[in-house]
Amino acid sequence: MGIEEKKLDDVYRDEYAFVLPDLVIKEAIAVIVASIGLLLWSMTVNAPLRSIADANKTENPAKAPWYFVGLQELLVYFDPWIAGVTVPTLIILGLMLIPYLDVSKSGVGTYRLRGRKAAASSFIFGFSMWIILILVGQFLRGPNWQFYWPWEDWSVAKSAEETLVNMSQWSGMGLLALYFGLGLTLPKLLYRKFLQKMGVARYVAAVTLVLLMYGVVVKIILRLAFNVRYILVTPWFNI
Amino acid sequence: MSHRLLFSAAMIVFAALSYRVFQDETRKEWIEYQRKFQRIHESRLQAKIKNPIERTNPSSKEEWEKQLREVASTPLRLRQVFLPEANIRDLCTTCHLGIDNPLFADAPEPFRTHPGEYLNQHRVEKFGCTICHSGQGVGTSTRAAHGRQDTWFNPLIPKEYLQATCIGCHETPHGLKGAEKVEAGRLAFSKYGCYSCHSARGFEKLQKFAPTFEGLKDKLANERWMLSWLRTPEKVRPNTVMPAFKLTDDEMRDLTAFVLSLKSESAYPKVDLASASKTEGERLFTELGCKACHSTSKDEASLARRVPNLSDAGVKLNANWLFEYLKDPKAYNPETPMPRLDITETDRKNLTVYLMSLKASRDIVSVEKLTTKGASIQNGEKLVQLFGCYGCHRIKSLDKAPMPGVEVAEVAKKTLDELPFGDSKVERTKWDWIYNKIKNPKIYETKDMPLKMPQYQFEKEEMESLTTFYLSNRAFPLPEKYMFAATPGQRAALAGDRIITESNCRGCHMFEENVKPRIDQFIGLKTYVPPRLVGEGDKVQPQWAFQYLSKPVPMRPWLKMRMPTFSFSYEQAQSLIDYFSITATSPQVARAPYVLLPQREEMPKLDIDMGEYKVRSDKCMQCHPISVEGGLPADVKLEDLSINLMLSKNRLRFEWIKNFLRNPDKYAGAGTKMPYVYYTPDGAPRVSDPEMWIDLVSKYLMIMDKVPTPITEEEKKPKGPEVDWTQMEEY
Amino acid sequence: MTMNRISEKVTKSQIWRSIFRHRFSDTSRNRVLTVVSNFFLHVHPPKVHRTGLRITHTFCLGGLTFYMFIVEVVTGVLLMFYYRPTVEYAYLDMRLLEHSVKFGVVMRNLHRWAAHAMVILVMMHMLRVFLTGSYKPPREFNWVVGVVLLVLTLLLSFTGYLLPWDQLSFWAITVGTRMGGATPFLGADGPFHSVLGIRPDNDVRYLLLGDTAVGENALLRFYVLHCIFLPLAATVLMLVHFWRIRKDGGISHPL
Repeated sequence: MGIEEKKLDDVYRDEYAFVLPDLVIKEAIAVIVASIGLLLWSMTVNAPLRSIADANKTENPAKAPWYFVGLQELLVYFDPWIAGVTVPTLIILGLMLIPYLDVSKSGVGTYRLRGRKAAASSFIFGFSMWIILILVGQFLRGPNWQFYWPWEDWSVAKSAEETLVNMSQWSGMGLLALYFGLGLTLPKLLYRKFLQKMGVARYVAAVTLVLLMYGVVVKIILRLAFNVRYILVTPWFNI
Repeated sequence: MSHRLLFSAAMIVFAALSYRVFQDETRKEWIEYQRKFQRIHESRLQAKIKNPIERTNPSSKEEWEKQLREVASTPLRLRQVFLPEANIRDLCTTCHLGIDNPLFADAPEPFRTHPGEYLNQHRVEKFGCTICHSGQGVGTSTRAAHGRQDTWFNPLIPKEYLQATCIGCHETPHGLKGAEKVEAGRLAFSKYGCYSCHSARGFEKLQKFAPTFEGLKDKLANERWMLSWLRTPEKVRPNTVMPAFKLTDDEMRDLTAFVLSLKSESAYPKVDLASASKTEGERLFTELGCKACHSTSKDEASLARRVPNLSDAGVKLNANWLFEYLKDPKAYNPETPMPRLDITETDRKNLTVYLMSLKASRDIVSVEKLTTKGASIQNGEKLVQLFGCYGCHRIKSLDKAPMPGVEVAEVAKKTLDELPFGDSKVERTKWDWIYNKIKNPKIYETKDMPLKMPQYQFEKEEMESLTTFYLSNRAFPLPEKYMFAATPGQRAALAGDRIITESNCRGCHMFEENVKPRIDQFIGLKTYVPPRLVGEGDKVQPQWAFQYLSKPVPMRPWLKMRMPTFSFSYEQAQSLIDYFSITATSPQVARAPYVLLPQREEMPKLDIDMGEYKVRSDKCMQCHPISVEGGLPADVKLEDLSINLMLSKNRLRFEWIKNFLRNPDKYAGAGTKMPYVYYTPDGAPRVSDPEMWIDLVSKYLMIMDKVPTPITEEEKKPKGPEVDWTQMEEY
Repeated sequence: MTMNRISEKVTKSQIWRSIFRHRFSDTSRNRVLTVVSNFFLHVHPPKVHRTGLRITHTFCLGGLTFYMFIVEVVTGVLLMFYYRPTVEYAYLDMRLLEHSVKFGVVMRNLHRWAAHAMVILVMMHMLRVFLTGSYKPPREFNWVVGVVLLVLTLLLSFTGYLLPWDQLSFWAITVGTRMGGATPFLGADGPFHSVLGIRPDNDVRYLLLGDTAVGENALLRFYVLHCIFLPLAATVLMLVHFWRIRKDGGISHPL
């Protein structure tokens, strides 16, 4: 028995702990607390059920499930093939590539963001944008996808008529070239280490993805501030 | 240790919540109702068992006791009526447990027995509840079941509009017991001409409701009348059915200009009225029966709303047009229900002079300052379409235009969220929406949604019944076996009733016992008024009725008042005969075609002689002039005369003659001049063997081919032994 | 005394010992054996780094996501007893569930809200994993699996959204799938769709809906995806995900 006790003491001093009971009891508490929350939620709020589906009666606004409302919100600023297909594809692809593009070894297993500023800021920016788009789409959009503050009455119709302009062919192409050109070269010029550490392939992929993400915001700003409809108009697609 | 504490605490909370969920499940509203129902049911059954009257009858007592045992052992459970083919799943009987149990006639809701006799025809197991009542069949809380949730589009219909759903299965509510309100709605829909703008089942292909605009220019004395009419129709004729459009001066000018610009083919030469007499015209107006339909007093409501009030004829009409119109109204407007009177030119002149002297509302019309000078005909045409004038008034160029108003079925189909309430404060239910729309058609108007419907003057009951008519007026999507097409009887009644109402037959004839025709108040003598038509199907032969309706021939030539020529079509005459036949006492009595029963060849000579003898001896000819050529008996007052007996064999049904001879008052209406010959009014025989005599006289009338002469003094003298005819039965 | 004797009798019985192969006295050996010999606890290693024990390190987000998935499976299977994926019955069944099925409302609420909770938790979990740098080598691939699981979670939720067959679900799915029709090359409304001869009746949207609009076919497809394909795929990937946690060094901790 003496030997056993001694060994146990050693183990406690160790930086590893037994799963039983230390982890298991915490898991059990988490599960029970989650169950309580879920049960309370279910007892107080009923899942929505509207009148029966009718293809002849359009809901206005017809909103996608909340987790896709962010994409729907992007439809204001982009054509469906970008907002509904390209953006989500790039998001999934970009998320999957993160571990292969981020070469920094620092900050593993801790909430310390020092030494990984570029990666962290990009990710947090994208995550926040996602949340904000969802919040705007879910709570601030009314009939015909018009903007309504929460205290505004939906039954008061808002006129949708804004005159939107397309950028001219050359200025649009110029802007895109400038954006991506500068975007690809500036980080390299400002932080010489980047390219060295990452290698060309990683660098181009990472910077392009980040540029695309900020590009979405740039387009939103262009639209809101200057009523720009399309930056680039081609016979096949518009951006 | 603190972890264990936290874990235990969390577990306790979780257990408590779970217990609460279980508890909620056993405390459902319907469970409480079922417990309560069981208590009431048991106490009522026990009262029955203790009741001394029930006790004396052992079998019924046993029955009650058996029921009591059943009640005590019934578990609490959801009950449902499930009819897959009709897509019905109604759990209503989970709470409405006494719905078909007479014990609960005075029980509190939700247990009370279903009122009325509806359930006898519509068994709960076969129809469920929501077909008629709407609501959410699968709901088990009051709020959900009665459909008072935003997400349920079909809430329980309140009692006052409940009959609305009858016409979801029954093609027509006409003559349907328990559907009186929706039938009243149907009648109001017809009475106000709603069908002119709103198409509805059963109102297809009808004539335009109001006077035609074609040739209006010829009809009117001048444009001033029309302008003042458009301004305030309700002032010019207080009881008019023309609704108020509330037009601006420009709109009135343009509309008038357009309507009066419509071309007309006919010419109306100037008529010389110098020789005509207004007094004579006034007398004719009553004597010819014009008054049966037309009123000459401004404030009086006409009997039928489509019949114009003539109090302002002298202000409105052009005398030349009127003179021609009286000759043949259908020449001016083929769709008019006004019949042809077939009167002499002098009479027409006299009537024209009289009518032109009626000048009510002159004070309103004469001060009208507006003229059509400078008005735009093109704009007028647009306005006619905008306001939908062409819905009621015919304009040839717009014959193919779609109806101006919304289809009734379209309203019936709409769910609450599709109805535009505008900025109104009207309660958010479908029936309130419809009711208020009818009451005040512009109530939901907003800037984006201008509404055109004009304002009508409805009674409150009319608005309610119209709402009922509108609420659910469409065939339900149910299997064939739920659908009740109109019966042949209903169809005939509908068609006949429409013609009778359109032609205003009730102005002259009594169709229903105790509904006096309007003409009665102007004609003193009963024998001078047009005949009552109660039980007409029992009385006349269809063949004769058809001929008479197609082309009336004088029945009582000594009268001034004539049945005018309505020019009924073949179908219309047939419809009227069908109508008489279904309103008759029984189909056997009024069977069609009529088979002539007695034939001269089949009758023994003795029967014919006896019948002839009785007719002669009872002096039937004294009041019934028998000569076909006319030649009235000299010694009888005109008011005592009746119809030529020679007409009987082609006109009257054999059975009816016999009934009439038995009880004249019953078959010709109280006050008939026909004496009781065979029986007293109490039914006691006046002659020996009255049935034999009635039979013989009736048979004789059916074969009579020459005029019997009155019995001469010679014949009255006794000749030989007195023959006792009553002993001759064996012949 | 008697209690002790009873418990001794029970724990020494053949049945007991056939299930639990070791004693429960608090020794290191037994702590390890409990984890190792128990199928459900076996997902864990016998010992974990103390960083992973701190609630503020993981907030238990991944575990709770998994718990929500279990809740979804249990309530989902129960709901399947009362639901028929046809246009004729789907909505009626929802109403019946609401009114005449015992615990129907609670069951549906649990299913619905747990689904929402799962989406929220999985997103928070991803944020946590990123912030703690837990995607870095050797855990790169598990991050990729995690991203796929995120997508599967969203798809599970999205396919379930249509099943109530009410206005909300019908139009949400209509709007959602309309975007799919805009896929370049493969969608009938997308750019370059004519290159491959794509029409509304052979594009990706048609593949998803089984029709050009949301209807009977879409309902059945979404039902099968929601109840069979996606849960199976998620389960397999979850197993891979958990297994890789162990193989890639357990819950991340400072090196």
